[in-house]
Amino acid sequence: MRVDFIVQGLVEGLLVSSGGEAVIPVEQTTSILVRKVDHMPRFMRFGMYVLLVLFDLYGVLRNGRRFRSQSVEQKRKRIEEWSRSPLGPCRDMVEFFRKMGTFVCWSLLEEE
Amino acid sequence: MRRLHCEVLVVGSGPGGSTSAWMYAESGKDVMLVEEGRNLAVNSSEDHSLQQMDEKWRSGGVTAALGSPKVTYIEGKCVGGASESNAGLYHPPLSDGLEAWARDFQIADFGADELAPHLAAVVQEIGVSKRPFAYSPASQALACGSEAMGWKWTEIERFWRYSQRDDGGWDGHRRSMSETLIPKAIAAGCRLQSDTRVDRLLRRGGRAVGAIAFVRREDGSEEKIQIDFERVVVCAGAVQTPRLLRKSGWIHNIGNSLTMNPMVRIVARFPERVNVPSFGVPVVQIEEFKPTMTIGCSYSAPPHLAMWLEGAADDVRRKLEDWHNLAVFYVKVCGRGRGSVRTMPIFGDSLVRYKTHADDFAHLGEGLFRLASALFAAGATEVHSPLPGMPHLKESSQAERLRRILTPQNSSLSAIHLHSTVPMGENPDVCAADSHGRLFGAENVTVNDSSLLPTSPGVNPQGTILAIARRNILRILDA
Ligand SMILES: Cc1cc2nc3c(=O)[nH]c(=O)nc-3n(C[C@H](O)[C@H](O)[C@H](O)COP(=O)(O)OP(=O)(O)OC[C@H]3O[C@@H](n4cnc5c(N)ncnc54)[C@H](O)[C@@H]3O)c2cc1C
Repeated sequence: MRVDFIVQGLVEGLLVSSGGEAVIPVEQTTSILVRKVDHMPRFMRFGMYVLLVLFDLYGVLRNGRRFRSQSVEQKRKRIEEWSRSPLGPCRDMVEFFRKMGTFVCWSLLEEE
Repeated sequence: MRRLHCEVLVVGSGPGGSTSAWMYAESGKDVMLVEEGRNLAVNSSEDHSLQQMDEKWRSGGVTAALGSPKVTYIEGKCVGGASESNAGLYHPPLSDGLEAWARDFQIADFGADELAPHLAAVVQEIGVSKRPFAYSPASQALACGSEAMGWKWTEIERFWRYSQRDDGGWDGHRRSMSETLIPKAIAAGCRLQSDTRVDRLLRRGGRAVGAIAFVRREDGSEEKIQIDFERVVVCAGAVQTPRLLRKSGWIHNIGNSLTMNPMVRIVARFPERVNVPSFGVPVVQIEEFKPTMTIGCSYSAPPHLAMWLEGAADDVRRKLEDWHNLAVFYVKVCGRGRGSVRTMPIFGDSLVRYKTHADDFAHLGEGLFRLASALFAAGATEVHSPLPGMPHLKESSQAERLRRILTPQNSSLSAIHLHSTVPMGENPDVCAADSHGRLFGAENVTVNDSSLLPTSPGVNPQGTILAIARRNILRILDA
């Protein structure tokens, strides 16, 4: 199953600033994050895939389109909602992509 | 199926495994040291870089103990284990802690006096030194803040060697296992078999007679092999050792009492430069509150700082504009919580669970309060909250807020020191191995790594693990 588009959406929603100028390596960050997910212990990877798919579908529930197809502004809102979720795994998922995504993105920018 | 033979099989090449392999090889035994990870040069990647995470840490560094909250942790996975990527901070064990282990777990011939010659030998063999040049400015700030608060601080020695360049600057060399004990073991005849995962031990009655292992080939496929031996020493680290033993049918008191040192980090801003490109590993720790809590400074390169600074790219970029004025600090507590290691049904991975003790939240909060107080005393102008969305602290009177800030729901904890999954001693209620690591119920199986430490030592554990490993093998060889 491919989750790249959902992860890319998370990278955009978490790291791309609204009206900002900073150019960030969205695609490279996404592919490294997908690799990170693939290196997780199998049960964590399975859990992460399930969460990502649910998150994508949560978008449909909220405004009729999957998360991956929403505007960056809407993506930010969906992420914000999950980061405040009463459910630990939802918050953990957002925290993982926020922290790891930031680390990956700034490691790539430093290399440049 | 290919079959290999040896007298002594050592599983895992971290500090415990390297010590065991070296000492058995020196005694003339035919030793094979088997390591699941790759055989890489100590400096094959930059410290705490993405490449290092992929190359030298299990699951790329993304592993977590489930619980409320979950605790992310790191396990080394390469020849040399975690010694290849750790900070190499050397802290001798605390005498009171050793006496408590001897008493509570009924460990024979054990205590500060008994361990002292082994610690001395380890320090001599591997090499420990202080930094021959000034601390990083962030470490200086922590030391200065600690003094202002009237608290003791110390410079921690490291398993490190320094050499001076022609231009007067210094180069540091990590004294990891691949640089020290493993070459010695190989010189004494030990065979090193990397990229090989021991899947389970084969039992005949109370004896282990062989191991089923998988060798990873260049193309990613695996070859199944059998290794026959007379004795096996399991040193796969505090998570993989209990997993392997349980999978092989030994379960008594194994994997039931995991301990760790949960940690939180915060960023502080200073009016002057505290961060430099060659920042390295900060070596100053506040001594005053050990072993309950250790306060220190962390890796603070811009990608690490970015992780702890909130916001989208433009925000982070703005905050990082004066990254020279920012540094990351940590509070680590001697965890009172307990956890377990099992194998996850269906998936086959290690399932690690950990219940953080209420006292640990209290100690972490108290530690954050003390850390922030010391940082403000050292001149910090801003201390970031450890929780997203909370306003940053601007003056020391606000540090009080940190005391009760952490709850099971909001905390983001991590750990790098894991132990106690096969506690040693003669107390049958809690111990899984005897006073020298010999597994109960198994004639020829010894455990000799971080799993043996009965509880969390409260200080950097590598020195203690090495000394105990040396003590145990000498005793077993004597017997
Ligand atoms: C990032 C980091 C920083 C640290 N900093 C410090 C510090 O500054 N000072 C300090 O004192 N301590 C530090 N530590 C802790 C210290 O490194 C560990 O306590 C110590 O390495 C544990 O030694 P060990 O022998 O138990 O096993 P490990 O070092 O965990 O090594 C176990 C080895 O066994 C291998 N293995 C596992 N399962 C199998 C299998 N089935 N078959 C074959 N091989 C297997 C693994 O791949 C691994 O290489 C740090 C740890 C980390 C992760």
